[in-house]
Parts: sequence; C-alpha cells; structure tokens
Amino acid sequence: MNNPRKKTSEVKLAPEQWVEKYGNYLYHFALGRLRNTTDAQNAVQETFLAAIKARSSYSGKSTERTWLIGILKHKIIDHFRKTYREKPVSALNFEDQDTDQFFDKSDHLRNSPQQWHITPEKLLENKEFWSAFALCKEKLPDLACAAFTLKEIEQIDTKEICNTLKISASNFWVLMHRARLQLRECLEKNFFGRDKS
Amino acid sequence: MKIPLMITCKEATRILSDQLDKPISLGRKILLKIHVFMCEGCSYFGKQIKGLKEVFARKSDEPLLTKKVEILLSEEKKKSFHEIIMKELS
Repeated sequence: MNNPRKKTSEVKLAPEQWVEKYGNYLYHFALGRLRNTTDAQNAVQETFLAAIKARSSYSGKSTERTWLIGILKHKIIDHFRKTYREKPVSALNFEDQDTDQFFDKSDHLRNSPQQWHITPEKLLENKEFWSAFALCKEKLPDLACAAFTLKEIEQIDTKEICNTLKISASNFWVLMHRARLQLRECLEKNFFGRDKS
Repeated sequence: MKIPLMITCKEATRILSDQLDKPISLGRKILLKIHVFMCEGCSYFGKQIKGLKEVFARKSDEPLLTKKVEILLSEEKKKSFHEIIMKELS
C-alpha cells in the first residue's frame, strides 16, 4: 500500500548534504557546457549560493537534484552573458566564420562524409563517443562553441542566445554552420570513422 | 556558364544546418533537394548533423558522459563549497 503523497510543506531541502550528494554531479554537468575547470567550479559555487538564497521557493515538485540543475543551467547562461557583455560583436572574427577550410577546390566537402553505422540511440551511453565529443568541442572557436552549446545542448531559444552572446541572428547561423562542419568532421575522424575494416 | 540550380556543398551544408533550427524558404529547399539528390556527401552530412542534434537534445538535463573517471572535485574544493553553504545558511 502506497503512502499518501507528502504535502509539499513536508519536503525539505538538505543543504548540509548538497556537496556530498551532488557536488560531483553538478561539476560534471558544468564541465560539459563550459570551457574549463575554473569556470565549472565557479558555476557550481554560484549555484549553491543562489540555491540557499532561493530555498524558500523550492516547492518540492521536482527532486532536489533537478532543482539544483535548473539553477546551474541559469548560472551557465549567466557565465556566457558575462563573458560576452563587454565585447559586442560587430563582425565575426575570421576564425569564427571561416568555412572554406572544410571544402576542396571543387567546392566539395574535403573529407567527404562516410556513412555512420550507429543510431543516435546507441550513442547516448557510449563513453567513447562523449570523450571524442569533448575533445572535438574543445577545438571549436570560442563563439562558435558558445552558440553551439547553448543551442544544441542547453536548448536555448535562438533569440535569447543572440542577446546573451551579443550577436546578430545572421552571425548565429554562420557560427552554427561553422560549429557543425567542424564537429562533424572531427567526430568522424575520432569516433565514427575509426576501426573501419 | 553557371547553371542557377546548382549550389555548392558549402551552400548546401549551410542550408542543411539552417533548417535544423529554423524554417527555410521554398527556394532554398528546392535548391537543397536537387543538390542532395546528386551529392552523397551532403546527403550523409544532413543525416549526421540531424542525428547529432537528437543525441545532444536528450542530454539537456544531464551531465555529458566521459571516459575520464576523474571528473571529481578535490576534497579541498568540496570542503570550500560546504563551508560557503554553511556560512550562507547561518
């Protein structure tokens, strides 16, 4: 027989246990979105602080961990906003927008895509894939990486991304094109195209 | 003589990328279809970036996996966070 559902007033947060229970999880989450360990650690710290300040607003509808991740996601966006606040982009750097390098003299993709023999489903829990992705993501130019991370991983709305990164919509499409060209090629080289016999 | 229906792979991959995130015009759609019909590389490209997009979307609320088991906060750092939390609570 199930217990009657707890009233939300009975669901409490346990901040004294946060670091032990969720510290590594939050850190791991932040590392996947940010460039370096320092930024990730700062984001986690700010998350804990913000969570304490906002603890009265916790309704218990989500788990403690989900709630903390929600705050961390906001801190990650804040990080990007701060990074690009001082430098509104009037025109993209060459590095961010160059896509010529991916095409050969006859305008074809220089490393012509091969067929990938794996379904998206199988990639989800594939550690090799995610390691290759981390490696490839690291090589992206900063702004392209930021745009890609916010769009594809954090699922942020395009308009909000443009406001956050201080770029135009037209900049955004160029950055995404660049990010996808580079990531796809890198992933094919380091994961999908390996061990072909 | 340039045939107006032929776009380059650079243009085609751009349209393939754009269409993942926004509606594209009929004109671009047609140009793309013609190109992809004749270009196996771009056909794969389109499928691959779409597949990747689906994978990333599924990880939106989770840490991304890694082979590195050492994604750990140092004990020192953990202690520091804990102290900050306890200080803020009081």
